[in-house]
Amino acid sequence: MLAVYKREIKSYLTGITGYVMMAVILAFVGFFVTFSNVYGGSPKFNYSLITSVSFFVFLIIIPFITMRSFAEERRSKTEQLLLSLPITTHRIVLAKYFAMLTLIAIPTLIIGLYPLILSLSSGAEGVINFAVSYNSLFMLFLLLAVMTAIGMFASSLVENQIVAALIAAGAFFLMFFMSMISSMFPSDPIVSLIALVVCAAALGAVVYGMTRSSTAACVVTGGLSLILFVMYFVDTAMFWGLFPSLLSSVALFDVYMNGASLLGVFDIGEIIYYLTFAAVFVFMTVESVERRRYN
Amino acid sequence: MIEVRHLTKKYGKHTAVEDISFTVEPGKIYGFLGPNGAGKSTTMNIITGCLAPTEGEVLIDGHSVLDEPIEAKRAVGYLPEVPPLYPEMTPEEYLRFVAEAKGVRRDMIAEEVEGVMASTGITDMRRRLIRSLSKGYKQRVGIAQAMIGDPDIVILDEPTEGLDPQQRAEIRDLIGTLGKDRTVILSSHVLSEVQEICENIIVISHGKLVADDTVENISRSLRQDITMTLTVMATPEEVESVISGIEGVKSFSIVSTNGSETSAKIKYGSELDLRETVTFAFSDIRRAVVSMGIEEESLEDIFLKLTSDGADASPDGAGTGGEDAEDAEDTEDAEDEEYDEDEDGDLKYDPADYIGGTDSGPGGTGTEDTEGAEEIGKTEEKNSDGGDYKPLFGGK
Repeated sequence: MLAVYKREIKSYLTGITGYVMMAVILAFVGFFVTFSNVYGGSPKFNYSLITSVSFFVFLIIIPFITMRSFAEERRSKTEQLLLSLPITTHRIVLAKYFAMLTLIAIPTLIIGLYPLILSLSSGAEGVINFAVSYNSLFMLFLLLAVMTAIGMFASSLVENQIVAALIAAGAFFLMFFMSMISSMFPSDPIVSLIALVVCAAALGAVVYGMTRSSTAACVVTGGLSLILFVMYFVDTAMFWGLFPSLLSSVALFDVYMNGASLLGVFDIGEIIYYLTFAAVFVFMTVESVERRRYN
Repeated sequence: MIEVRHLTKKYGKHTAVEDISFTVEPGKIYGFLGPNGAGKSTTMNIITGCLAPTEGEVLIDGHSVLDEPIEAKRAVGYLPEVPPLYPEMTPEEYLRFVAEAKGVRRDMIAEEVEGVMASTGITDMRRRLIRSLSKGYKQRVGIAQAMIGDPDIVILDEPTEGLDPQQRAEIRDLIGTLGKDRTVILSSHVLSEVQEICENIIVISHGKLVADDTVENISRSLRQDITMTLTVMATPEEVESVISGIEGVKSFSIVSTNGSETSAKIKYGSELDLRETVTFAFSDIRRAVVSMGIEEESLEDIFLKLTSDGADASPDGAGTGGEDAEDAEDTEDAEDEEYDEDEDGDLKYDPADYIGGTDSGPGGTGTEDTEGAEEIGKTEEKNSDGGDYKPLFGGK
């Protein structure tokens, strides 16, 4: 596992890509910190990180980091080496995942110097709060870890890395605007039911894509739909506003931008939320790679 | 030891491999033969755990590849069809990575990598980027990768594909060395190669196993007739009377008379060995046998028979050669074709020339060239009948 991890890190750092990505992240975040904390004189470092505009750099850069992870191995057939090595699939996936996290951790650690630099001079509105600053940076790293897991999963689905990047970026933008999207749905129970049945059908399509088995897809879609209908007739009230609230629960970015980081409090719930999210996508990547043996 | 049991692999509705079973004994070199698309790579990918079978199982030294993948994979080194190389690494870095990943002990890695680089002849290229290596060297790095960790079994999928004649010969030698102390499975559609280095061959066609035996046994069981070419210091009449008195001769013809010498061709069943009988028959009438040659089928004739659409229906075709009567005539022609190539003597970069068996090694079936260019017309006819295998069998 360590071998794969080391090779991944090396491959990012021998070429120019890794450096360019880190440079872009640092330039962007640096600009916002300079703008609001140095130029604007605000002591609120966490606000600079959370500024929604600075987020767009991550929505774009993370897909660039993750797109190669599995798609490229598949295209160049080096995947066969990994699959024939005496290493389990989940170790390979974890090694790649940690390598990407390491790549992201480097600029994050450098950003970690910013509060120290800022503290050297007190701003117009007071001194910098280290606890609040580092808490928000830590939460940012967790958020990036979730995004990396999603991007890696996208890469494991396809052979073309550009397509992998587009899938990941598309998913990020969708999640970014999720609170807006969820507010567009009426709270009517029947709307939730229909939307959830549509989701069950979409899940069936994903199952078909991974297993190429129409029976499995039908079982998933049919089974879920049946459960939903039964639940609907047993307890209609439960469906009141269910879909919009489910949508907001995957609004990954809102949790960060409107949550504890903004308020400057440490929230264990948010940490668990992100860790769970990341774990689910790492697990799904393992499954997706493992599935490849069967197709 | 590898045990392949009732392996079936389906891609959707398409069946790539159907109910294949065979056993690979330790310490031998196996040739895995089949035309393109027969399921060779699929089978190899399943054996090495890169693919899961739809049905059946593979046991490596008693470990199921599916249930105990780590133990099973540790015993195997694999070179897939496309060498799995990272172009941005140097061969040395790459091999170190593979050694680490295969769990070679940390203090042994340098030694291991050094040894493998030396035996595959890539030491001089150690610091170049793999990206900039020639195809032959890339292939060597691929083979080196399979050898890392000293696995008992090395599986090579078309290791000489796309290489020039010189490189092919070198890789062949390398495989020969490899096979001295471990099991090697080598897939190829270059038959002379398999004939030269392999002791056993496994032939698959259209996803089915059609033969699994030693090179000699397969050729013996499938051979229809042996043609003996004979030159005797006797008159044609004497030759005729002697040969017609020998039991087992199916047919014979006088080819030529040249002064006191007469040449004849005798055909007899492959189960017989008439060399002694013929010699003694002529010595009984005090006539000297000046030369005697036996024409045996080369592997590619057998291969053609096994994989032609007519023969593939019977999975145990190897044991029941008699069924393939309709192929009997083709055999001779196909063989002639080989010798045509031989006599041309030009070593172009063309697989066809290779199949021609320009060099017959220790594993060869000891064919002898007695006739040749006379039947070019027939040869071409054969080529046009060759169907799918045309590019393999010297479609000119």
